[in-house]
Amino acid sequence: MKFFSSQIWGLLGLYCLLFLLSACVGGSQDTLVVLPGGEKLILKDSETANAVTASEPPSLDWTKASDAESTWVMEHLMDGLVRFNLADENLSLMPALATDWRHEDAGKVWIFHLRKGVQWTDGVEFKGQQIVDAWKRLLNPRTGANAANYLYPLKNAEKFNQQKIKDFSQVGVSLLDDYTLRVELEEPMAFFPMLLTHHTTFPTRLDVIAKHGDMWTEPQNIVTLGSYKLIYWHHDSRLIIARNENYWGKKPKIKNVVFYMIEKSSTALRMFDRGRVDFIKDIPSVEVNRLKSRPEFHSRPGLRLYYYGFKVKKPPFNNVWARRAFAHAIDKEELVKVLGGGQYPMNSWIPYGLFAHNNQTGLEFSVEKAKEALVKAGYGGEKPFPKVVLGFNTEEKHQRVAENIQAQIKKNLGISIELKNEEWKTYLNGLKSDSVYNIYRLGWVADYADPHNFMEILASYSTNNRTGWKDSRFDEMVKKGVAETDPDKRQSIYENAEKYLLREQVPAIPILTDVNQVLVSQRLKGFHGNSLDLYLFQDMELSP
Amino acid sequence: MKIFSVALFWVNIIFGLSLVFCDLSLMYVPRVLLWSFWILFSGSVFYGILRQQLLGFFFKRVGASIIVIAIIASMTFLLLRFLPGGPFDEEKALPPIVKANIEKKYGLDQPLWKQYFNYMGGLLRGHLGYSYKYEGREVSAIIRDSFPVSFKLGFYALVLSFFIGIPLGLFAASRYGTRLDSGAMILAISGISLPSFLVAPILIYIFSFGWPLDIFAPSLYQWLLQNNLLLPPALWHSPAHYILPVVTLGIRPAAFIARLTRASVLDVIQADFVRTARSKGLSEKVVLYHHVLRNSLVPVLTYVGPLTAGILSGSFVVEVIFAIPGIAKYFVQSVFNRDYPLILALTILFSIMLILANLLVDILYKVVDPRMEVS
Repeated sequence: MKFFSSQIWGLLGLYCLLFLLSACVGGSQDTLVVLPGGEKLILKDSETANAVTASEPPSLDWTKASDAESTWVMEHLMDGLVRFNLADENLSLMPALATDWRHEDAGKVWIFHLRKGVQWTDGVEFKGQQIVDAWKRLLNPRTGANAANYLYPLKNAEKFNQQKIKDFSQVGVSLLDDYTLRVELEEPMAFFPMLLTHHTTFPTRLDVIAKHGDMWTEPQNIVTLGSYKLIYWHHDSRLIIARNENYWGKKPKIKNVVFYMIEKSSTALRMFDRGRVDFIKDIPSVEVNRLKSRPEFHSRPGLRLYYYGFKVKKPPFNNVWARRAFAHAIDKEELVKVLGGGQYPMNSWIPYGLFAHNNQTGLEFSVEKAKEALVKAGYGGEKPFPKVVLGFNTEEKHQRVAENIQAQIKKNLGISIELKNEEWKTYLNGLKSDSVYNIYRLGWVADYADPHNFMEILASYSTNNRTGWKDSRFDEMVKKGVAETDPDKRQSIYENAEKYLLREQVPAIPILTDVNQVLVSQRLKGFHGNSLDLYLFQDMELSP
Repeated sequence: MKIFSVALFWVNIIFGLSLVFCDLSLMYVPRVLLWSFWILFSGSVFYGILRQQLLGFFFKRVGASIIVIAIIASMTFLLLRFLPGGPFDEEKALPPIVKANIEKKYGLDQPLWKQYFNYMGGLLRGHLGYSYKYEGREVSAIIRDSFPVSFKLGFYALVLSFFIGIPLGLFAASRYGTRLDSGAMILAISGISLPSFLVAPILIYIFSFGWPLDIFAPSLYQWLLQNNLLLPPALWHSPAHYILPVVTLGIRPAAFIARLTRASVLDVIQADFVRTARSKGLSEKVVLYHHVLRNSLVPVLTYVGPLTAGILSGSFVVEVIFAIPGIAKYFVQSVFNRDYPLILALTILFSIMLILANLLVDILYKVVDPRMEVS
């Protein structure tokens, strides 16, 4: 009896101690932070939205950064020439730092009129030269920017990046006056302004970068011109942005936004459940079913593609009939049902939400047709199908997709597939060779909302085409799609190209599209979902 | 006595380190006071060491350590290049020109031997290079920001594990064979076998979500919630945030120490000198605390060396579950990212900590058992 009671007392004691300790620091939810200058700032709970990013933004240098976390923060801090209207289903373009634009020479030359009276956070006025400076920095090989190829459509840009041309004045960007920018492209490009929604093309202040070097993105140094400004950045922990009171456009209603860096999605969910954060983007897939019915849960398909590519240089998939057989033999409806994470089955290369999307494009699921195609490929009967290795990077979801497809192929075609998963970089390295895998998994998330971004993946010149499939007819179609300015004609070009790709050549099979799922607390009003997975707090407000 | 001053020397170093890295002002003692105390302390320790000429021993160990670290750095440098895949391989593959530009920026276009000498040269000048993943951030800055957090977390967990482990082990041994003994050991075994990814959510559900109070005593639960008396489920901003991760991290070593202490005490308690002490008519308390405990700490100390290095350099699981901005996640992520400079720096850092911890243990051996030779 004595033993029992001492245990209880011990536990009770521990309880009391922990609660007492927390009581010392409890009280209001308002947070106090010490800014880099030493100034103390109290973030009132009623004026502060709390969001979660999955990791520390690797860089806030918008010319160089190229990842989702950095983008989310930078889109609050900066403006480009144009921006997407995120409230519009079709993601139309809106003026930002450019007030209007027009094209000449069938889309080969673009003229942008820039906004006057815009101030950076240090009071300096925005001028066209800052755009030219930014683009020069992006293309300068010494910068080593990941997304330098983003501006390769500009005349001579690729050559400058390669240092075949040393003189930047030969690159197709110039100023007609302080507020008029003239851009000349290598080839006509109907959707060129859309590229300028990306933060790598935003203006920069070379004087700020020269003064602070690599440290220029720290809160005490950074100079921006967006609706928010960076006031605090504790690496790996949290980052705080505050309303820019001198913003040229509509001022945000939420005064402060805190981004907490929480890697584990289940931890983020706990913080949300305890009311400590208002917005999370990354939801553990096992929790989706439980959360689905809650009013805070929002979900919609993103501009994403999850596909399986064939290595076409080696047998058996050098034979187009073998590829078609596999494409016919996969039931994607069943697959997404098994996954249960809200994904959509995909039977087109261009995802939901883009104008040329048609989910009937690819080869339909049909066991008979699959078997016929297999016979036409010369297999079945006496000639057994060679060993097939399906590769994917180690992750639970990819494992489940691969296992399901392995089972389907076994059932529908009687072919055994060997699954091979590797750690991410090892996997990417293996994809460089044609002999490691026969089929591989990869994905794509849109950089901008245009079908070209997806069609280009499998062009013969693309570094993202890991199939080994090179087809000049398809390249021609992609090129035609870029130049066409008439929307209807463009749509039919892409529809034809897609049919050619997915029905005739089949170098890859689209599998599914992932959904953008977010949890938004009830006190955050004005949330609008969009397929780009980009949510801006300047569009939202806090209810008291 | 000599060895005592060496021990003092290390206590002093650790004290200094904790002043730099841990926010000891938490204890509501002004920092200035702590620092002046440390300076006084250092002065007297150095004076003592100089008087007893133990510095030679110290420098011999340091010299050997530098060689070991140089070998480790070279091996890691080479082994990394055998890893398939490079730092700039991404799902969205970079065009060759862009990739070449980036590699040139980081000097990766040079022959391997040149890169090696560049790196080692930099290391000599205290230059750890730039991270490949965290554009423009120096590796030393990453370590400076994240290591103190892990150190602090580990330091508290270590203290906690000693304060729980040794008394618990001693208690169990002194009640050998009784139900209290088995109770304590069941506790210890569960502490060892429960992984932190299980302990953490359980602690969070109890102390942060108020389970099971939210079901059985909703009004009390509401009161706790309104007065903000429940612990935060994650993050690392205030002492309230420290409690759950420190407990999670401390449980396992505490249990291990308890078991080691118990076994060792039981061993020593049968020794002749204990019988002598008892027959002299000393009280059980004096025998236990004065004669037995000190002599039974040797096996515990053997475990403490690697434990200290391991726990102070952070725990991946605990840091990820509680979203703590510590260094442990870099140990894992830097390898996945093939962030060569960061991996190298972390390997070196961990080696230094391991060497220091083992040195500390060697000296402590001598303190608890003067018959031992310090080599």
